Amino acid sequence: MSANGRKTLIILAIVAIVLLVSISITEDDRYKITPLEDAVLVVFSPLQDIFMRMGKTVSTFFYTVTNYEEILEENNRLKEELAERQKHSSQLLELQKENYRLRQLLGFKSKTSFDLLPAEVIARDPSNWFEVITVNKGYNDGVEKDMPVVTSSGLLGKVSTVSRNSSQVMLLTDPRIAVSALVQRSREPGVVGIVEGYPEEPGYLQMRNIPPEGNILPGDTIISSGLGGVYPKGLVIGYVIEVGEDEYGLLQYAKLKTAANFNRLEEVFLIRSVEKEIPPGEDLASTGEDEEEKDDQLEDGGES
Amino acid sequence: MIIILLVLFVFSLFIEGSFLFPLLPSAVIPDFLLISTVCIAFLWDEKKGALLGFAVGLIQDILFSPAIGYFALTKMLIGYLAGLMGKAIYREQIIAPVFLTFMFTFFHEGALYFLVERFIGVGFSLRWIVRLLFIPKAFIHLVFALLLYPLFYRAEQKKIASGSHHISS
Repeated sequence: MSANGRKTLIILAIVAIVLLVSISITEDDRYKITPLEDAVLVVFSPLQDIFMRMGKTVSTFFYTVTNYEEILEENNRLKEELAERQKHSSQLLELQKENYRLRQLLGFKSKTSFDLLPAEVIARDPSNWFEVITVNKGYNDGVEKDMPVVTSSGLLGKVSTVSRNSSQVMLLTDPRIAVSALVQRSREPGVVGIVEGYPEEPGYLQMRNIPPEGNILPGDTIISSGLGGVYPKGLVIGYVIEVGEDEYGLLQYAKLKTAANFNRLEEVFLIRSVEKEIPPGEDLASTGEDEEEKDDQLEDGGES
Repeated sequence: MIIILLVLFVFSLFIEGSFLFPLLPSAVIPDFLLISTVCIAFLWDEKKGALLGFAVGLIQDILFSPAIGYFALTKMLIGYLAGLMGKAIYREQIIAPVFLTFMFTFFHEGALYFLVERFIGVGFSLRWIVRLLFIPKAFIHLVFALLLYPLFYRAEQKKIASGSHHISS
């Protein structure tokens, strides 16, 4: 090898070591990204938005062309459903008012809801290695690190990196995420497991550390337990596909299908704050947490 | 030329990460940066190949990676090795760079597997990763290398013919 070749190899080795150190430093939770990253993301995120919209347009076009009959049928069915639901809406509003009044009388908290910030997905890591998406809201919009992110179907993940006008969201399927969870049906306080990525089959989740006597069955809905402080209680995480014993036979584990469709992510919501009083008739996103509150308060003797 | 290449690389990142996502949500997306790095480094040399791999990998890290260094490191090594190979093999024929792209896909994904395991530390199933990620990606890259290498080669030849030593210069 020539002297020039050796020099190149030495420089390459030094840069490789620097990059390894960089991974180990930046892999840890960073409160803020570097100005260089911020500048690149500020320039690139509007362009990513444009490309994502183009992709959606093409995707919608092909979907419409190939599923025209199906869409027509769905449209007619939805019109009928809408007419039916409109009939019930006034009745529901009355019931909601009555429910609110009775809750006030009993001293229960009103429905718990979230202050949501809507955002659009503008990119996803194409390498298949990191379960990360990029959304078009950043610290200029009030986004902060670790904010939980949901869709209308359930929990999606949390904000991992924030730049000026975009943020990275780490999905639940990312192995670095773990959520404390419980079974919605049984709501046994002892049956709290940890939900995390399923290493044997990426794209699925696993709930582990479930006690052997835990009442958990295929088909059960798994919700966040609220422990840990990042994710509020009651967010739907997924549905149990199978239940089994762990490798030592001491605890149970469950394989879960995510509630949110991670392959069809367009609009998401970032949870800015929780526990907001809702006056009757106001339509805000709600969760199963009102029922949790009720259970908690019943357990506490009805004290709020 | 280097500016045109960088614009093309950034453009291909937008195609991979944003345009193709709604169209092919659960498919294995080709890594155009990897294919281009192998083909161009093969035509250039190991020094420029490593520099190119480092630059494009760094952009990819900023846009998509949870930490800075995963793609910069792997693509820099690929660029270096492809540049070394280019010195030893005839650049006129297409088989070598296409075969190298196929092989370097395994190397690239294998290096990422090692780094992710080392730094994130979760036991991905290697069997799953090889079956559903490494092999499909390698074959997709092989097809794209067949299409792209002649373009890069012609561009390089044009540059040489017009008196410049490399398309980078």
